[in-house]
Amino acid sequence: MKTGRKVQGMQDKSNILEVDRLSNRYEGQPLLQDISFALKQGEILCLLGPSGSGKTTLLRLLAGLEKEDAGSILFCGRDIRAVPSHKRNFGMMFQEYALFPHKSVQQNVAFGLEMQHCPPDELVRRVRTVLELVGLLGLEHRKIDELSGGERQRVALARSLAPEPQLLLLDEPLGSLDRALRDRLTGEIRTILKSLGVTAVFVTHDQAEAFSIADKVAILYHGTLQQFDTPEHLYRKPVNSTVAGFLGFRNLLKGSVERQGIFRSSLGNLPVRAENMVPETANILLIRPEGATLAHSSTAKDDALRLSGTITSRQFQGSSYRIGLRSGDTPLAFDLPIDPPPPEIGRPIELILNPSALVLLSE
Amino acid sequence: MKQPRPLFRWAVFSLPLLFLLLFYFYPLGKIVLLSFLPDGNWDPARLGKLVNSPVYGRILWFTCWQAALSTVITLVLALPGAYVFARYRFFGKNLLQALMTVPFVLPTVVTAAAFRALLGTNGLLNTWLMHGLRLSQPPINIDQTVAFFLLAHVFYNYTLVLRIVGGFWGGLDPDLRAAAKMLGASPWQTFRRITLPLLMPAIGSAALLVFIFCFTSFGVVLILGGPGYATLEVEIYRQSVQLFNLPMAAALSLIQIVVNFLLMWLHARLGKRSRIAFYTDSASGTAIKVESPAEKILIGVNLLFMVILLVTPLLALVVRSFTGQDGLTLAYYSALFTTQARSVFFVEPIAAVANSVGFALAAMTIAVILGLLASTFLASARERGAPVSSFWDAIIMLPLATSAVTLGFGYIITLNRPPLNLRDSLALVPIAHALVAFPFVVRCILPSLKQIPQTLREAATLLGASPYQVWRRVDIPIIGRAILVGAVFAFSISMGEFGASAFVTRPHTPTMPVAIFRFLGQPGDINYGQAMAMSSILMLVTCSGFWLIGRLDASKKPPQASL
Repeated sequence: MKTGRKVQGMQDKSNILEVDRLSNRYEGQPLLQDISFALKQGEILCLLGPSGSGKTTLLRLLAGLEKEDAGSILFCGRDIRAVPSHKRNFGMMFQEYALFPHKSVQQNVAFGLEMQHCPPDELVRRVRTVLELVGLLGLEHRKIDELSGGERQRVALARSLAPEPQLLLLDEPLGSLDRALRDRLTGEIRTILKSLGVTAVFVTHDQAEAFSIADKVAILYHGTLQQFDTPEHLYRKPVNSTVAGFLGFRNLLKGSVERQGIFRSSLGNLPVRAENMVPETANILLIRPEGATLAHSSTAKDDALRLSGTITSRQFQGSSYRIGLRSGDTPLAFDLPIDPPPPEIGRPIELILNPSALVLLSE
Repeated sequence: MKQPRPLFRWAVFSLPLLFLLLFYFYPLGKIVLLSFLPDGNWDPARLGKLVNSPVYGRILWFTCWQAALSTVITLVLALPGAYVFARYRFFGKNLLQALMTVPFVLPTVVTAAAFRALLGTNGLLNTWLMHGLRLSQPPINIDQTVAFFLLAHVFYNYTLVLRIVGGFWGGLDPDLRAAAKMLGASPWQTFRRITLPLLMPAIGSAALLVFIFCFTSFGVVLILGGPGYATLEVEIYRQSVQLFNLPMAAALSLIQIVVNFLLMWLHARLGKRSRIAFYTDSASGTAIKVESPAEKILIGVNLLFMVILLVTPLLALVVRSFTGQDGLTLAYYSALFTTQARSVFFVEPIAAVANSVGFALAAMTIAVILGLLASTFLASARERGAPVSSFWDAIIMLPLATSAVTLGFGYIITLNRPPLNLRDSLALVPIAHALVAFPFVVRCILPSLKQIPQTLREAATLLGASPYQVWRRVDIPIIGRAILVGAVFAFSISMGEFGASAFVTRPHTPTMPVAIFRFLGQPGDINYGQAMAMSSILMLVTCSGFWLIGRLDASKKPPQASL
């Protein structure tokens, strides 16, 4: 099922961007199929998916850098398919930044304003403002090859923001940076975008990055839109096993709905909350990894959902333990708090499951 | 990083260094001495007189403006072609790309002969036009004019510009164009503000190379320009070989050396900043399919031009070599196998083929050994000792900047008496050719040698390989193909070398280009036809070498030789 379909045909005035049944092929191979979603003014959308899922292609279609084969793109209610990229007034931040190597920081950032024929003194002022915003004041006259990776990323952001684009497109802008820098810049980018109220579409293959930056997340897989939702909804209720697999969930049990509220699987009959029973065709049960606690550590009621097994692996991860266990023939994985520490490998373990961590989904 | 012992490095470098000292600096030093001390006395006035003389001022001026004009014409014609190659994918692109190497390796003498065959007074076009239109006079009269050799210069350098600029253009990050578009730049603004400035180093580098090649142009001007025109290079030849005015030739050579060094230095500076590849296959990863009719016309016009410019002269050459006054004939080829009474040769002309191949194999061997040694020396100094290494790098490149005619002239004034009397030795030709080819070999081998990460050698060492085993089992297999490419380059350069050969070949053992030149200088249809036949054979031999590289290129990525 595709949540995005609901948008189709809806003419919501508050939507700034509406994409309807967008399709694209490259040399006969379909890259994107029937993509539909809508975005409100000021929202940040993350396109999340493995490499080859078509997220960059979708971004480039929005930018007008690729040609769509079918479907429409409405921006502020206007069909922009025939508008060439340089007249769309969209900003774009490229994967490798694509900074002009023959221009200084100042000249790179000023380029878009020059294209708008901005008067010189206003241009200088606005360049200064964005450079201050991204924390690069003082580096105006540096050459691009004298900048570090993080500084280049900031110049690229400043350059795409300077002309005050109506829509900002970011193509894995943190992809080539190291982990620590990435984490810091992810937060910064969100703060900057929110302070300016820019509507943005952000491509990434990193789930943590998507969750920390986005208001909405679109999961793409093999050129189709799997789910379009807020990060929290997405995490709580992935619609299918593809999405769940991509989000890193491993406790996926096959089975069938026995009767209302009960799912039969290799672990026996498990109770599932009514709001988590949604797809009628549900045949997979997801147990989210954070939804378990050690039985003896909690003052559990007698009717609590218990699960016992043998520990097969045990990794200390800093803020939690990731443990693997085998219950009957079923391998499962959970994240447990570090206190009290879970038993050693080979020892039995008894867990209490949080009923809200049990979600039904379809194949 | 562990450095090889300095003593060992210098031992490796001693052979190339000795070769350069004996066969480059010694003859050149002698030229300088001869121009300042013509009769054993210090006479700067003579040089001053030369500079003030209107004749030589005119020669210098002519050399400059014809080179400048050739450069401008070539750029204007080749830049649209470079765009087409960089930007689009189309049918037959690979074939055309292979064709692009042909003029690059074609000996100047063959080029000259090919243009004669097409557009000369006895050329195919004139013959056909006279026949078809019943004219009594040949309608095209550009033989012995500036236009004729300018055309040959364009033929020669068109593909050079196309390869350098096209390759660089195709390698530009397409996201830069997209970024400019997204910032509101129209296609024209994107070209003017982003693409053109980024292309400038490549265009500059190509223009400078074309200028250098045209400035030192010898065979083409000598053959197509006729006696009325002389570049510095041609005048050096005339002064020394025809007029025996050695001091004057030496003085002219000195001017030639100075100007060439300046140009090469400028080129090296440009090249260092932008890392322009000299021998690459143009990147086709970003090329797009042709769609609009305007694009189709643009591409069609350019491809048509390329084919006419590049293919027709070569085709005419081959056709002319089989066409006598009474139609198809093998007479010219069979004449190559006979010694005629009034021939310009003492032996049957076909012997020149054996001579050339023999000389080329010898020159190739010398150049590859020297090139390998010099590259090893240069590559081992890459960390820290960079300034020293770039100094030696420049020294090794010097022969490239020196005109072959100057070099040949230097040889006949120095290597003709003890301790080094090589005047009658056959070794002089391969030595001269090896010297010209040696920098090319280094340019082929050095980049791939430098690309081998030191960790690879360290890994081999830790796995128990001795330094020799590391070199034999790691370095050599990785650079093997680069060595091969260098070898084929050296072979082709030697096969086509004319400037130095004109001085150092002995009458009994002419090389093919020298033989062609002698044929062209003689009257009569049979001589002319033999020149065409010999040129066709030379073209076949040179191209088969590059065809071999092409075959290897198909399986592996080519190493890049940057100039």
